[in-house]
Amino acid sequence: MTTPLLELKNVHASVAGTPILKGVNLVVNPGEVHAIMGPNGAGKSTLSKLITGHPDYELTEGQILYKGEDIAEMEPDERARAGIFMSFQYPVEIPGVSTSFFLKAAVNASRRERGEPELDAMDFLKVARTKMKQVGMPGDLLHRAVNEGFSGGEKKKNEIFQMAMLEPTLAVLDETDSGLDVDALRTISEGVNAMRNDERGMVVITHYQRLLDHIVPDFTHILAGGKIVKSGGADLAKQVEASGYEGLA
Amino acid sequence: MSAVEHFREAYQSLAPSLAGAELPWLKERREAALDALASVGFPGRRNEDWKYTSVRWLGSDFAPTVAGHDPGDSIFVPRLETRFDRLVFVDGVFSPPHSRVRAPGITVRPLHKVLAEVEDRLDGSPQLTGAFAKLNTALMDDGAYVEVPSGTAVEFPIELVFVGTGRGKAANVRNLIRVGDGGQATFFERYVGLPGKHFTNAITELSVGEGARVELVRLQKEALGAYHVGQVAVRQAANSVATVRSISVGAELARIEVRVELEGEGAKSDLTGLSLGRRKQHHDQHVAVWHRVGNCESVQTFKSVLDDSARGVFTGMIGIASGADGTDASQSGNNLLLSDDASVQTRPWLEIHADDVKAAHGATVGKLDEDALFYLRQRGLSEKRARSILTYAFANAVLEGANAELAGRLEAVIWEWLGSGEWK
Ligand SMILES: Nc1ncnc2c1ncn2[C@@H]1O[C@H](COP(=O)(O)OP(=O)(O)OP(=O)(O)O)[C@@H](O)[C@H]1O
Ligand SMILES: [Mg+2]
Repeated sequence: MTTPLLELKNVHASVAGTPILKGVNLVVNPGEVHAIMGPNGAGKSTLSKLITGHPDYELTEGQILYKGEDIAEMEPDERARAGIFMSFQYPVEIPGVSTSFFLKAAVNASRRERGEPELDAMDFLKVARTKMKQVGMPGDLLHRAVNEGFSGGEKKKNEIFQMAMLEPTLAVLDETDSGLDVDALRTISEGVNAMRNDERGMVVITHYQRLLDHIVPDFTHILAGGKIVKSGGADLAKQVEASGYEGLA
Repeated sequence: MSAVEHFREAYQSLAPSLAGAELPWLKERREAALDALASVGFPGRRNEDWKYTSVRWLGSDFAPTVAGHDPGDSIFVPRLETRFDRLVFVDGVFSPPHSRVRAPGITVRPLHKVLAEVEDRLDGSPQLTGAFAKLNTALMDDGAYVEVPSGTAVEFPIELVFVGTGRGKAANVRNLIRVGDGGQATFFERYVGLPGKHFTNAITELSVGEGARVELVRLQKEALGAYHVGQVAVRQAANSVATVRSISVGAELARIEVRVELEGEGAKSDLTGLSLGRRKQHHDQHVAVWHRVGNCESVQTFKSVLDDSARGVFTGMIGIASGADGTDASQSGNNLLLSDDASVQTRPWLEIHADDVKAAHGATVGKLDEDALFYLRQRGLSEKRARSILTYAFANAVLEGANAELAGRLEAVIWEWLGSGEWK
């Protein structure tokens, strides 16, 4: 039996003293794509931030295992360098820091961690240009400050572009589809699908079936009231689309 | 002994050996300055201009330097850019072996060589009224004298380097720079030093002719034990553009004053400053721009980054004289506090005597954006690196539009302060 990539065991979590997650169990094996759906405020983003180690989100009970190891004490950047990536629901604007500078630093931080040689400016640009094309991101965004003044869709493309550059082992995509036009949705989904392989696991958070038409999940879970209330296959998303969360409980 | 008495005694014993001792007008001026200093004294807390910066450290233990004082053999000379013309001074005293001037058509000389010719230029800036200016006039011994004739464009920056050896000296540096009508030049004035205690009291008088374009980059990177009071007094004629870019990193206490007089219509003054402070450093940035005539533009962009228990002060003055209609003046003071013990005082100060003017000002005091910090860390950057990058992004506005020959050097100064030499 292979070690799961990600294992959440009875996870309880609080934000600013308020309990949000109340016993989440989830196992993501290498190569699997799990979709998580659920009403607004259910705790989906809380779950992503907990996995990535955001300091405001406190694990109050239970365990988070990554490749079999408890990561509760790991810093967010250690988790990132260990291969955990999150596409932000609300990507942050960072004035004064160019996307290329930032991303080259990030890519090389992970490469150092893995004992791989760092990319120099030329190599970085070459790889970056190819991957930007793949996700349909305009080339000039590389030279602008990170997300500053980017359109909603450009920000999301930038997230997936970064994922493509960082080649994580576990990717949590938090509402990557919101704000994308239909063409962009397809391009980005193709970019994500191209990254699916036997080692990589993905957790895809979305409100809409249409994303899951493109990125077909192996499993779908409904998170409501801080717990996973229902799990199923790709079909579960269709039920949600048809009858809403009310009809599921 | 009070500081005033100390410097008066020092003057009495040094007078015969000070530069230009043989010039009666200069002797008269020095003594008048001493008298003025004695009557006003060094500023105390009740002096509004010095409300947040103490001068109690001044005391009586700094010995003024004069030419002929032996700088010793342990002189540290910082990396010099070989393509630049430069004058190097050690504890305020000209050092010929390190200096070099080759650009044709311009005059770059140590001031002590030309004092006889500058009677009407020395102290020609109306802004130089304070106690430190008086002290400087009384005891100044050397500095740079630069003359860029009308219509001459100087290709490379001219470097003026002041090295403090940290041996209790007081260097009263005076620089006189004039760029004639239509001239173009960039100056890189920097203060560096060996560890130890010393006092630099530096004044640069910069006169900018009609239509001339000048950039003065001023880097204060003295050793941590130093005390630094630096003033830049600029006078601008019509349609001139003058940029003063000040970066203040070193010294126990640094007070940088930039005072600009816009005297001809259509002139533009672009002033930016950055102080980087940590430990118990005290960094005071004091700016005053006077629009004496109409239709001039001035922009003040000042920032500070303060860590540990460093303290910062920013005073930004915009003065608009009566009749100076069509003035467009703006000012921003933005401060980043990296620790809970760091603090900053910001004071906008407007004196407006004309009606048809624009005068905007704004100030902020903030911390690093936690969301941005998490974003960078989620991408694998260590907390230290992420903080450095965000701090750099805040600070680097001071470099905007900098002379291309100098920009890289200034970037390096900021990264070095951030403790990461990893700018590539
Ligand atoms: N930093 C925070 N401070 C206070 N409350 C928070 C914080 N983050 C999340 N919450 C609260 O936790 C609950 C869950 O929020 P979360 O963002 O995880 O929901 P979500 O499922 O992602 O919702 P959506 O579908 O709208 O994105 C909400 O009630 C939210 O207000
Ligand atoms: Mg959410």
